[in-house]
Parts: sequence; C-alpha cells; structure tokens
Amino acid sequence: MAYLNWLIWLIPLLPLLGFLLNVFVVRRERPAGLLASGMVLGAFVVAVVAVIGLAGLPAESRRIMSTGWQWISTGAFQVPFGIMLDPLTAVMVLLVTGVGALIHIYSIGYMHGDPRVVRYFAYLNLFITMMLFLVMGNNLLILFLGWEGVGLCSFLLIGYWFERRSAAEAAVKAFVVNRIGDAAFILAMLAIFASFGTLNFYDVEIGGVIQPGFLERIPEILGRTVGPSWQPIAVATGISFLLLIGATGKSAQFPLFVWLPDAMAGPTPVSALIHAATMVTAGVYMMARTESLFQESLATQSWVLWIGALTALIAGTAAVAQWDIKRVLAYSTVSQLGFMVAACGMGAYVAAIFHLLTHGLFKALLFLGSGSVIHGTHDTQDMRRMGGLRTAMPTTFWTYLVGAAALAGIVPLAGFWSKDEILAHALSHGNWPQLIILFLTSLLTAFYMGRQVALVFYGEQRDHSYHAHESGRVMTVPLLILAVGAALGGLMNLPFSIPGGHWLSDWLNPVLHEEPGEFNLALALLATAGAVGMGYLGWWVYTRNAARVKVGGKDPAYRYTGDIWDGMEEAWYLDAAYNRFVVAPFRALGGFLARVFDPQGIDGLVMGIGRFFTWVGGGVRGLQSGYVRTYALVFTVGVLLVLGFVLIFTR
Amino acid sequence: MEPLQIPPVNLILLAPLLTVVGWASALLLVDVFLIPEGKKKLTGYLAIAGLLVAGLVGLPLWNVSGSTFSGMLVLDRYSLSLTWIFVIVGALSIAMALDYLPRHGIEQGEFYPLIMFAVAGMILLAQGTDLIVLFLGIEALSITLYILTGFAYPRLTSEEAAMKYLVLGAFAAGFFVYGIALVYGATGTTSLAGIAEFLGRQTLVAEDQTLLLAGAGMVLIAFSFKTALVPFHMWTPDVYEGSPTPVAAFMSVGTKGAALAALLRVLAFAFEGVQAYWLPVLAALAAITMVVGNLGALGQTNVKRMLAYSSIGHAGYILLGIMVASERGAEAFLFYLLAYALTNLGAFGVVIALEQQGESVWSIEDFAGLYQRRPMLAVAMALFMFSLAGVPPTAGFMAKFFIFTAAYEGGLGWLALVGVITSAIAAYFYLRVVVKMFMQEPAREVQPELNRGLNADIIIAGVATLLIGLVPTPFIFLAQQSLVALGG
Amino acid sequence: MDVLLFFVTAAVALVGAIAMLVSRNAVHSALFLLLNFGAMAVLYLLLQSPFLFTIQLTVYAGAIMVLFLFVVMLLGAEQVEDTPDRIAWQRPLGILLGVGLLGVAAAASLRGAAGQPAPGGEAAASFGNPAELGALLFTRYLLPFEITGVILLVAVVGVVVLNQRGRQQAPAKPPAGD
Repeated sequence: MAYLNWLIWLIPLLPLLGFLLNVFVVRRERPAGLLASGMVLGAFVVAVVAVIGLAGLPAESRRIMSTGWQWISTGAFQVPFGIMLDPLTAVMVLLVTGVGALIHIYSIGYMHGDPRVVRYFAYLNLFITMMLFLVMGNNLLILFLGWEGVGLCSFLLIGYWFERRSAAEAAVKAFVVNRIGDAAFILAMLAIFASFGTLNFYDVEIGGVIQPGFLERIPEILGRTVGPSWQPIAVATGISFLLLIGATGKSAQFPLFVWLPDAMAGPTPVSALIHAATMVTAGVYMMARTESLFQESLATQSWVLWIGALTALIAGTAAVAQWDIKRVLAYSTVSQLGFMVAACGMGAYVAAIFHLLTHGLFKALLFLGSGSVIHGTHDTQDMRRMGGLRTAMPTTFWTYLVGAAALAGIVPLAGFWSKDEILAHALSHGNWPQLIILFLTSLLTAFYMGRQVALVFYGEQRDHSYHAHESGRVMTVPLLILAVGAALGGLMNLPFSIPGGHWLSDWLNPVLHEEPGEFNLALALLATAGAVGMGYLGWWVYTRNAARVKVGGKDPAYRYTGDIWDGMEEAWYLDAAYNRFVVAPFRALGGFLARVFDPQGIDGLVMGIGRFFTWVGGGVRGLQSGYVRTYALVFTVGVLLVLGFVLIFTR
Repeated sequence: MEPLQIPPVNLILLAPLLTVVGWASALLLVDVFLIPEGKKKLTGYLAIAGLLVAGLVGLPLWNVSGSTFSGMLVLDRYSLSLTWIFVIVGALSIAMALDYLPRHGIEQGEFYPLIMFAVAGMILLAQGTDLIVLFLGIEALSITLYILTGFAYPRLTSEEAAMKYLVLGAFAAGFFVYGIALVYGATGTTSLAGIAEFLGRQTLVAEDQTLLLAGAGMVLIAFSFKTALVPFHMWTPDVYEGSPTPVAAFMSVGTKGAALAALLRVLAFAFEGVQAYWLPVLAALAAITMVVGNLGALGQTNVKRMLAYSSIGHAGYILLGIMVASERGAEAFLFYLLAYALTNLGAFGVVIALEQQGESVWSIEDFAGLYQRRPMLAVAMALFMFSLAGVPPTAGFMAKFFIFTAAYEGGLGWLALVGVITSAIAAYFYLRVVVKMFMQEPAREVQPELNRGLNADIIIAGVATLLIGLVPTPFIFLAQQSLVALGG
Repeated sequence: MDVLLFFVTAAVALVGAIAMLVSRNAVHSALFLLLNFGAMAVLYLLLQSPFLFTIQLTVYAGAIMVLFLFVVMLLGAEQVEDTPDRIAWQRPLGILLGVGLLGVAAAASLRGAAGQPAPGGEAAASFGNPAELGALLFTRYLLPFEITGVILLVAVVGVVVLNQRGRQQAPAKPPAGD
C-alpha cells in the first residue's frame, strides 16, 4: 500500500491550496465558494479512498506513517514533519472532511451576497487544513500546529462580522480563554519531551533510524527504578493534568467553557463546523490519542471524569433557559462535550469517540437547521419571535426534528446508541455519582430540545415583522444528507454481537485498547423512556403555554423557579465571576503598570517636550528635566538590588 | 630605552571587522567628494555592498580560529555566525532606510557609514575576549546609536530620544568602567580567560571575592541596560519611538543581539565559577523582564512603542538561553537571535511602509483594513506578528520552543513556565494588529509606500520567517556548528 | 603628613562636587567643577601617579573646562529659570537612593580591601610611570587604543552631521513633533 504514503498528504494539502488561491487569486464570490467546497470535497474523496486502502491492511499494521521532512533535528531532539493515518485518525478525517464539505456547500447559499465572502471561504479552508493537521499529525508538535491554527481560524471566523461589537468581543474572549489551555499544552509538551525525549506518538522510522514514540515508551519509562517510587506516577499525573487543562480550553469544559456560547456571534455554518462538529472535539481527540498516558494516572482520570460530568450538568441546565436558538445549541454542545470527556475519564475512549462522531453529525445538522431558520426568518435568533415555522419551512422542520430526536437520545437514532454506551460504561464500572449526573443531564437534554422544537416550529408565529420562507436547495440538501447520517449513525457501533455489531470498537481497537461496552437493557429502556417522556414534556409545556411566551417576556417556567431560572440563564454566573475576579484585577494591574512605568505612553510625551524647551532655553540644567530623572531613579533601584544581593551573599 | 615589542598581530582573524571599518571610512570620503547631493542612495547601496563583502570575507574563515592582539580578540565560529547575523541586520536596516530618509527629509550620506560603524561595534562585541575591548565595543556601538537616534533632528522626539539615550547610556557606561576596575583590582586582569583562570584556582573561596563579585554585578548591570532588561529598560520605548524607524529596527535586534552575545561569552567563560551568584540575579531579571515587557505592551496604541515593549519581552526570553550556559542554551540563543532579528526587521519594514510623510504618529489604527488595500502587506505583517507571538509554523515558534526546552532541561523550569505564560499574554497584543488589519474597516486614508529596498526587506524577512519555521534543521545545524570552537 | 593632605584634598573635592550640584548659576557650577578636578589631580599625585595628575590637569581642568565655559557663555545660560518641578517627590527618593548606592559601593570596596591584598596586574609594578604606561598602550593594549581612534572618528562625524543639519534647517520651523 505504498501509494497511501503520498496519498494522505493530499488530504490536508487540497484545502490548503484552496486557502492560498482564495487569499491571493480569487476575487469573486462564486468561484471562491465553488473552489473551497470542491477542495474539501476532494479531500473527502481522497480520505475515503485512503481509508478503504487502510481497511485493506491487516488490523495490526493499520498505521500509515508518512514523513515530509525532518522538521527539527538537533541532537536528541528529533521531530519529523509527518502525518499518519490510523483507525482513530481515519474516523476523524472522514468526519472533518465529510461534514466540512457539506457545510462548505451550505455556506454557498447561506453567505450569498456577503461583501467579504471570499475571505470567509479562505478562512474556512484554512480551518479544514489545520483541523486535518491536528488529527493527522504523528507527533505532538504537528498536533499543536493544528491546535493553534484552528484556534486562529475560529478567532477570525467568530469575529467575521466584526461590525457587530459582540462578534469582535466574542472573538477576543474565545482567543484569550483558549490561550490558557494552549499555555498548559506547551508546558505539557516541554514536560513530555523532558521525560521521554521525544514528541512522536509512535515509533517512526526515518532514514533507517527509528525515532521512538512516547506513547510506546510509557511502560518502559514508568517502569524504571531510578528515583523515588512515586516519581513515575507524579510525572504521568503532571503531564496528563496539563493536557487536561489544554483540553478544557479547546473543548469548552468547566471552568473554561465560557467562550463557546459567545462564539455563536460568528456565522451559523461556522458554529456548525467549528463550534460543534470538529474543533471543539479536538480536546477529546487529544485525550483519546494520549490515552495510555492518562491511564497511568488515576488522579487525573478522576479529574477528567468529574470535570466532564459537571460540565455536562451545568451546561445542560443553562441550555434549558436560553432564548437564543443558537445559544441553546451552544450550551447543548458544551454539555455533550462533557459527556465525551466524562467517557474519557471512565476509560471508555471508544464510547467517547463514538459519541464524538454521532454528535458531529446531529449537532452539525441542528446548527445548519437553525441557520436555515435564521436565514428564513431574516436574521431572527430569538425564539420568542418565532413559532409555527413548521408550515413555512417543512424540510428544515423535519430534518431538525430528526436531529433533535437524535440529540435527545430517542431509539433508534444515532444519539441513543452513543449516549447509551457511555451510560452503560458508567454503570458497569460502578461510577454511580457520575452515572446519576449524566442520566439527569440526558433527561435535561430531551427536555430542552422538546422546548426548542415547540418554541420554533409549533404554535403560532409570534412576530409578524418578517415573512418566513424555506431556504434554497443548496442549503436543504446538506440538511437532508446530515439527517440521514444522524438517523443511521448509530449503526457504526451497535452494542450487539451480530455481524456489523461493535464495528467501531473493532476498528479502533488497535489504537484504543478498550473492551466493548456491555449493553444493559434495563438502562437502555430507562433512558429511552426518560428521553421520550422529557422530550414530550418539554414539547407539551411549551406548546400548551405558547400563548404565554411573549416577545421580550419571561419564560412560563420562570414563575415557578424564579432566581434559579436566572442562574440557569447566566450559566450560574461563571462569566460574571471571571469579570469580577480575573478581568477587573488584571485591568487594574495593567493600568497601574502603565502609570508607574510608562507615564510617557499616556500623556508624558507632551510634558517631556515642554520640559525640553526649557532645557534648550535654560541651558545646562536640562539633564534634570522630566523623565530622564525618573528613569535613572528606577535604574538606581535596580542597581541597589543587584549589588545588594551580591553583598548579602558574600562575606 | 629598548624598542617596543609590539605583540604579533594576525590581521586575518579580524578580516570582516577590518573590512567593515575600512569600507565605512572610505565611504565617508567617497560620499563627501564623489557622490552628489540628491544621489545619496548610491552611498546606501555601497554600504550594503560593503557589508555583504565583509560577510563574504568571513566565509573562508569558517575553519579558522585563533586569538590575536594579546588575547583580546578571538575569531571562532560563534563570532563568525554572529558577524553574519549582524551583517544581515545592518544590510536590511540600510535597505529600509534608502527611501525612508529622503521621504522624511533627513537624508544625509553619513547615515550609511554610521550604520556600518555600528555593525563594526557589534562585531567587536562578538569577537572581544577582554572586558576593555567589550567596553569599547559597547561604546563604539552606543555613540553611533546616539547619533543615529538623533538623526531625525530637528524633530523634537528624535532629539529628545537621543538626549535621554545619551544621558542614561553614560550612566550605564560608568557602571561598566567601575565594574571593570573592581574586577581588575580583584584579579589583576581584564581578560576573560585570565578571570576564568583566577576563579578556577583551588584555594579560592567565592564568598571572599567581594570586589570581584561587585565588579561582575556592575558589568552585568551595564549589559542589562544595553539589552533593556527591566528595571534598566525605561529608555527603550521613548528611544524607539523618537528615533528614525530604520534605526529603531536596527537597535531592537542589533544592539540587543550584540550585547547578549558578549554577555554569553562573559558569563560562560569568565564568570562561570561564580555562577551561583549571577544566576539568581539574571533569573530574577529575566522573569520581571518577561512580565513587564509583555504587560507593558498590552496597553500601547503606538505600534513603535508596542514593538519596543515586545523587544524588551523578547530580551527576557533570549536571556533564558544565555543563563542555561549549556550547549543547548547557546544553540537556542543563536537560533532565537536569528529568528527574532529577521521577524522584527520585517515588522518594522511594514511599519515604515505605513509611516506617512512628515508624521510621527504610529497609531495602530493605521493598520485598520490593510488587508483590503494591500493583501500581501497585511499577510506579511500577520506572519511577523504570529512569529513574534510564537505561533507555529513560524520561526518565532521554533525559537521559543527551543529556548523553553533548553531552559527546562537546564533546570530553569520555573522560568520556562513564566515564559510560556507571558507569551500566552503576549499573543493578545500581537493579535490586535492582526485584528486591525483583517477585521476592521480602514479608519483613514493611509497610503502604504513601498519601494525596492522596503520590498526586498519585507520579502526576505517574510520568506525567512516561514522558512526557518518550516525547515529549521539547517539553521540549527549551523548554530550547532558555531559552538564547536567555543568549547561549549 | 600624607594622611593630612589626603583628608584636606578629599574634603575640597567633595565640597567642589556638592557645590557644583547645588549652585544655581551655571558659571559658578563650572568653576566648582574645576575645583573638584584640581583636587582630584592632587589625589592622583598622592597615589604616586604623576602621569594621571598631568592628564587630569591638562585634559579635564584645561581643555574640557574651557569648552564648558565657552558653551555656557555662548548660550547666555548662566542663570537657570525655575520651572515647576512636576516630580518633586522624587527628589528625596533620589537622594536616598544615591546614599544607598554610595553605601553599597563603599561596603564593596571596604570589604574587598579587608580580604587578602589585591593581586595587582602589570600596571602595579610601575604604576603611573608615563613611559611604562605609553609602552603598554602600544603593545599589550594596542587594540583598545586603535578602537578608541575609531570611536573618536565616529564622534566627530556625528557632531558634524548633527550640526550641519541644524544649520540647514534651523530657519524652517520644524514640523509638529507630535
């Protein structure tokens, strides 16, 4: 299968070509959209061919490594610029390019007429390139390249409509919060390199020399007898904890999830692609990839588990109380990511990836559906101004219903199978507290999706200032395709011992060493009953009380819950807490530093010049004028400190 | 009285230095007598040619090493690599200035030979192995820079900047001289090898060497001033803002690089024996430099001041490589210097392109909507900003990664931590420029002025920034080879 | 005798320096500086360094001092106008830091002297002998000597360049610097 070695390079390079052409050559909307979509579609086709080739190999040799060139080579420090294709990467690549292509096509319709649309497609192509590097990199440094790249594209795309103040602010917020995670990631890389001497995931052979991979060296490093006995555990815990912080930033986990709801200020296809289906799952992918490192540290694993479960619950409650159609989905995304992270914490990595894939399908569907609603209602996002849209937008309605049911976990749609696998895992491993939390969250999920469907599509249209219409074919066809995916995605990993059952588990087995989860009929029945019941309840409450939903008014449930509802609407005031305890003190510090150390930067220059004139006129004493003196003063303080230190430590 | 015995002098060892000085002196005359007013650009081209010739002269010396002038000057690969970096920095700075000077009405032929003299001072710092020579190197560089800073005279900011720089520079020079005197008093020598030998004696108790340590501290302070480490940094923003932009570009990379290169030699050779004393001092300086430099840049709306603070922060990062004083550290230092020099020169090039005639406002607002008007220029600037912020796959990322790993391995993990966190903060203000260019409408009509010299500068810097980021191996190899003769 | 002479001269030097700083008339300042220079020259002589004594007198007290006075008188800037001092609070701080600096420097040299005698270099043998000093300058310290020449050249060029410009453009009002 030698052709795979060069073929897989085409997967990231095609979108890169699209990006370069759109930046430097293309100037008009139509060719830009076609070019961008064509390139991603091409990458998808190549990916399919490559995965078929990969599947043709025997299971234990399903790992294609391809090195472009030696990126870094200095003594012991060897990092190739290399990509790989293995079962885990394969499913990620198919998701990214497949969903990505559909969203590109959808964008042609959605973004039609936007003045900067060429730039939009350029960013989108760059994003796909970076996301592909992220999942295909065969070492942490390439992964980090993609990690930073997708963050950058996410930033550019959130702030794409920069005329809207909220968009620009949301972009900066996303970037700053993500930097925290990125800094932890860099530290993790430094620590991994210092402990293992390599950043490669797996052994790579380059020019006849085998460069070791840290994932394969873990037993050997951790088994060494040098140093105190707790040291290996401490190393594994430290590194995996830093990686976890990185993941909480990118995958919007507690306490760093605050950027994701605001990120909805970007164009809706962007929300679908980046903030639901692909980029935000990077943290989960990274934890799955470095699974063997996480497995060494029980401490980190329990942190992962708790963070995931708590995020799921917090975001789930917040999603119930939102009015903005996209913010419901955003909190829902955070909540579902919490499911995946919790699954990682339990060691159920296959379940996490399974949920990642199905979620990628149905959440992209929901976002594109909401985009279609927003498009068809002339940029309306407040659900209080919608209602009764099922007649005006039938295709959107039916596909949205499929997506909502899949998310709620209704049999036999995709979400049911993947969520059930996570719950079953929690049950079989005896993680009772988390099981209860996640179960409650899944009930909430069904409830808020029922509420949303009722508010948007049922009842009467509450605001008649617009005329709702169905979107064009270029937008509805991707919806239909995704709806099929959301309906049938569960077939990937049916928990039964039938031909085709456990397909994903078997496929991922060479990478993620995990026994397939046991199917628990009682739990499945309970979950289904709960999902159907809560979904119906949500739908029923909000169709019955549709008349009481007023534009700009309170939720009918507000009467009964009061302050709790407010807390849910604000995601339990995490944002406010950040502003109060982090942002404000930091601003104050910055202002203080500016006043003390850089008076010139504010108003000093004018004064300095004034003093300077007196010097020119006044002659010799100018040296005492103004700020030079201040500078010399600070200088002297430094001198005293340095010399004082030296003197203290000598006799 | 017996005739003087002049020690043997091997001029080959200072061939590049002699070329620069000789060429510059000759150019002074040529400029005055042969080049007519209004054609002074020719002087600039000749100066670039001179620097390139000096670089070429260095090529055959790659395998030569030795010291001359009573051990006051050495030629080794370390100094040769630095010489090449400085020559490139000088040539690119001149290229930027070619059209800048006439555009701002401050063209004078002497500008170009002066830059060459400054480069000579920098080479001297790279080659010097005696505290006196290092002092003179710093002074040669500084005096040239005082003049160049005030070159936009009678623009008041320029004049004021020159004045401030001169006064504080003299202050720092005083510490250097006093420090040398104390070191001489303690050891009886000013040569780095002599000091190292003195410290290497078995019977020596470092704690008793108050004079030596105080002297070393003062030398350190003088170097800290030149490299603008906090709290000896306060002049930097004013001077960068006031001086002609090509000079600011030259200073931000050249002066710093040369001073740090000399500092590396001083610390790693002469004062290696008292590392326990200077390491904590430098570590503290590096930490607050990284913090204050990057925090200070956060609030700036003036691009030149922002870049000044950014250069302060970067000096903190470079210092990490010097402190480790291992082979890895020195390698990382050279690599960082190259990457940073090219990136920063490129960034300053874009600033010059946007600088309007007769104005001295370098507001970040002028970058607004640049992508719409000059996509190439905006993309190049974005590349430089990403490199300064340390985003892969640019040169800046590689450089930071090297420095941090070197620091981590060298037992300075906490400084690497400070570095990572501050560079996370730093990304914010670099990104602000990108935001302006890509995510805002133009605030006012700014006509970017591009010309041959500036184009060359930006293209070279841009290509190099990307190239070093994508294929750093040859450059790392060069850095490794440079340290062979250093005995590192 | 030597000790007495030292204390008297040192006191004169100190008084000269302080008086120069506080004097409000620039010409007076310059003259106090001259006093300080002279006292320093005597101190050099006490240290048995006739060469430095001569240099101090000719270069500092002679050439540089005359230049100072010329400049002051040419500019007609004998009197300093009182400008409001915006950062007056720094003055005590500055004095405090100055005293601190002095203390640190004194502590360093006192402690250093308390240890074993300084080894001394090539200058110790024939310290201050002009012939020996000259010989050293042209043999061992040849390179610094040459570099100094280049530095002086640069300085001269700088003076000419900056001055020339000032003359060319002085009549035209400079563009607003801000």
